[in-house]
Amino acid sequence: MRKKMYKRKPNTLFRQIGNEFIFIDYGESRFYSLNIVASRILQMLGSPKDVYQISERVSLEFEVPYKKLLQDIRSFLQVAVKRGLVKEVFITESE
Amino acid sequence: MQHIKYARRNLPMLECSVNLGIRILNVHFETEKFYFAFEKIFLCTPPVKNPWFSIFIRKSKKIQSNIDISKKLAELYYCNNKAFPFTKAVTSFFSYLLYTQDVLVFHASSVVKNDGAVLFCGEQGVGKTTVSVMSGLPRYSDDAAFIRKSGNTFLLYPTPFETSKIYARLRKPLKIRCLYFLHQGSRNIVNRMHPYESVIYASRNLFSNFLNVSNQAVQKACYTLLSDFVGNVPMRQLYFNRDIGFLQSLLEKNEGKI
Repeated sequence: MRKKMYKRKPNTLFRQIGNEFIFIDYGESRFYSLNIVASRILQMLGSPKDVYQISERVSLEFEVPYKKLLQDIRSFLQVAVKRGLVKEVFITESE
Repeated sequence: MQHIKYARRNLPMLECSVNLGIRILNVHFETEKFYFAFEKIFLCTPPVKNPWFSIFIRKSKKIQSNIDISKKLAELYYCNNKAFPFTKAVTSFFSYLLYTQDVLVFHASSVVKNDGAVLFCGEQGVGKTTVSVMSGLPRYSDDAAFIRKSGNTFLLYPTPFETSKIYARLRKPLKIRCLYFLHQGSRNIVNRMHPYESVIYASRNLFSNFLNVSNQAVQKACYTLLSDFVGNVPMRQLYFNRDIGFLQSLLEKNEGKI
């Protein structure tokens, strides 16, 4: 069974400057300003994770209804994949 | 990197060392023209035994470079030996190597204010030198600003290859009070900057942008350092319409206490 997971693009860097989170794609010389939730999600995607694993972790840190969180994370990942910040990886799991 | 061995055997005469203040490099040249153009700008001394880096400057139709950090070897392929663009290319190449040594090199002029430095960054022709002259303060460096991380602070060092006497005699490293990104404006305005904006502007004003070099390890070191710098030094946008009174009162305001 193939499982869709997400992994952060290599050659990227996270920096916290004051209260702001900056995501630097130094391979492409692109910069992104992130809010704290987006920054936590991208931070944890150093290793591949699926949307449920991400949601579980985020729900431990932020008070959001799980259903809403899952929906928000899905749409965030969609945008992140589109912008090339996150890659979709498919891992085959034995049943 | 095979070419490097070739150069070492065949061009023993056209080599020298240059002291970047922080590190000493040996530089080898493929043609006399490159050597003479280089000699006009940099203070050349005989090659040293254990240089921090050995650099080979070669003629090519296209500007490109090869960097092997572990072997401390680098090649710069350059297509023009006129003094001005050659200086820019070589300085930007040196500055690129210095990122791994906690040094950032900005395209900026600087002045001394109360034992600290104020920097003016901006594109060519925007008036960096003019502003530093108009400030009436002692000038510390022009065109290239060497900034080194020292613990949690950033210090401005004298530009190592600058020999002009017009700059301040005080040549000790200075703490940076503030950095202004200069723009020509119809009015005089100073704007605070979001860290995200500061990172973008600072990266645009790095010397390395003159060259199309890429090495992921160096890039990572550079942007890590750059974001630390943005977090530590106050940065402002300065739209300037050549008003001396405005400039002097701005510098009096003691922005970015040290």
